[in-house]
Amino acid sequence: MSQEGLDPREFLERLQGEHRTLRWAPLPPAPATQRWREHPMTGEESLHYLHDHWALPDHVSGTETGGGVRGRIAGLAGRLTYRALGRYLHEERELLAHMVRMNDALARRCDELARAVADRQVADAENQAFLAAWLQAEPPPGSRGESGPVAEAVH
Amino acid sequence: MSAGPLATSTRAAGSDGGPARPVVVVLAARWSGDAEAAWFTRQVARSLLRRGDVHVVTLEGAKPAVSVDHEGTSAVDDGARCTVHRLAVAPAPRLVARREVLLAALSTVEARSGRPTGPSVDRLLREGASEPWAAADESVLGLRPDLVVLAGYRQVGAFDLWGRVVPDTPLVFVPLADFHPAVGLAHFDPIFDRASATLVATGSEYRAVTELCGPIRRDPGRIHRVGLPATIEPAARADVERHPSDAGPGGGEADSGSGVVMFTGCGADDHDRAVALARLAALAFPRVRVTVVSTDALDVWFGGERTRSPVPEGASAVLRLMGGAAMTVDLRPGALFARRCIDSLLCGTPVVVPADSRARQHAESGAGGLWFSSPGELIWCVEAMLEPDVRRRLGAQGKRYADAEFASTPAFVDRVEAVIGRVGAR
Repeated sequence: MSQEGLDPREFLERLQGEHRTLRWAPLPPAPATQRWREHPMTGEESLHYLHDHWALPDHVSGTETGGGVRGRIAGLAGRLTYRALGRYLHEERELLAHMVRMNDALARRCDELARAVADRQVADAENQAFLAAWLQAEPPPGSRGESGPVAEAVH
Repeated sequence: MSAGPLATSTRAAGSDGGPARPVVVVLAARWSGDAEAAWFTRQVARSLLRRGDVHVVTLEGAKPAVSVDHEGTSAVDDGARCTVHRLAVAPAPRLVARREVLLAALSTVEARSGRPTGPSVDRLLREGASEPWAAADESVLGLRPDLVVLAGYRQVGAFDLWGRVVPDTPLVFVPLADFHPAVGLAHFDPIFDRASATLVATGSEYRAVTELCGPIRRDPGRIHRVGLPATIEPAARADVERHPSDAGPGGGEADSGSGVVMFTGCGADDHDRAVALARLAALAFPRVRVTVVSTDALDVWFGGERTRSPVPEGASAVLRLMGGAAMTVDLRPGALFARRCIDSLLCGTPVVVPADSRARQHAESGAGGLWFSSPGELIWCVEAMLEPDVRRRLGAQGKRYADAEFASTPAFVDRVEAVIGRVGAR
């Protein structure tokens, strides 16, 4: 143990010098969150395409087969095909409908999460900025009614 | 005392045929309690008992009463008595609040200007100040004092009482100037002006009064620094020194005296800056036992857990807490001379205190600790003080300073008596 005297003022100045380089600032929100906000998943073109095209045909119309013998044969074959595969086609249509709804829900959830992440980052940054200011800033004179001219004069 | 008013009483001889015992009247708004101002007033009054009877006139009390101050009277053995006259008069709260607001407002712009207070403002400040003291006119006149001591620079009403009843009696002024800049307002200049002597406790108070108060600035020979008597009773100090490691939750077995004791000066759950600072420090050092002493609870933070218990009763318990700790962090030290910090230094424990407080004098001039201006600095200071070498050196320096300055009641009494002697010599 050192027996030499310790000057508290010099010691404090050294402490302040050491810590001056350690002053930190809060992290700003990540740039990606801004992109997420500007380009929401619910605005994707593919999602719109899915909405417009998920319903496949489930019957044969006369306009598609045309007239004449060939048309009637094609219509008969089509009806036979749809009758034989109708259950499968109906289930496939339901499956596509659910997939589209699921994609829709996932896109919405993505956008909600992006908003939540962005909001949280902003709130965290604000909170850390407040904490940093509280930790590092000197209180303004008289803020607690304990400083001011007398205190300055005394020291 | 070789000269002065206490040696030249003009009253008739005493009942035992000997010379009459001089009479000192002390006008003090507050006499009881743990507040530093009241404690210092009691010490000054009791130091005057050596050479005369002391009559304390105070506003406090539930009903008007006269009683003997046994604690002070028992300290002397020549028959001198300390009598307390309680007027039981409370100033109107509305007027007190208005005066405080006015003083705070004026202090921000007028305290250093030296400009006289305007008559309308002066009238507002005086309103209701004299009435409570008027009840003491007859009793003070009947006492025929040889000396009047006025405690507290805001007691303009008590000053009026002196001027009205015994204006020819020497007046000694104990301003009890805390760090509020109001003491520099010209409104209080007449007291400094008329007082034969002004007594202050510490170097900080001396510098504040000398710099801010016009009459003292012009004639600094009228102000006298008398210091403080021993702040710790010898028995309590011996107790602390006998059990330096038996410190309970502040030090104790777990960290071998490396604990931190923090005083917030307010309730444990208050939304107060001091409470926030204490929690910040407790969270910053989870491996250090941090004991936060509030007015209503004692919280011990250690290993991420907090344990709450009642505040230990008695001065010795608090002294033992400080005596066994690595450092005392006083987040709201006393406004007059930071007595708790002095006690800590007397126990050999260094202090960490706000930079804008009276306690800084003990840390800086006494080299007994560190001071901080921001929460970040508080954390650095605590971290630095946890180094054994740093705290041992500062603790030893602080103890030497406190022992030299604040450990002798006879020396304090001698200084007070010397000032009274000079008053008589003028």
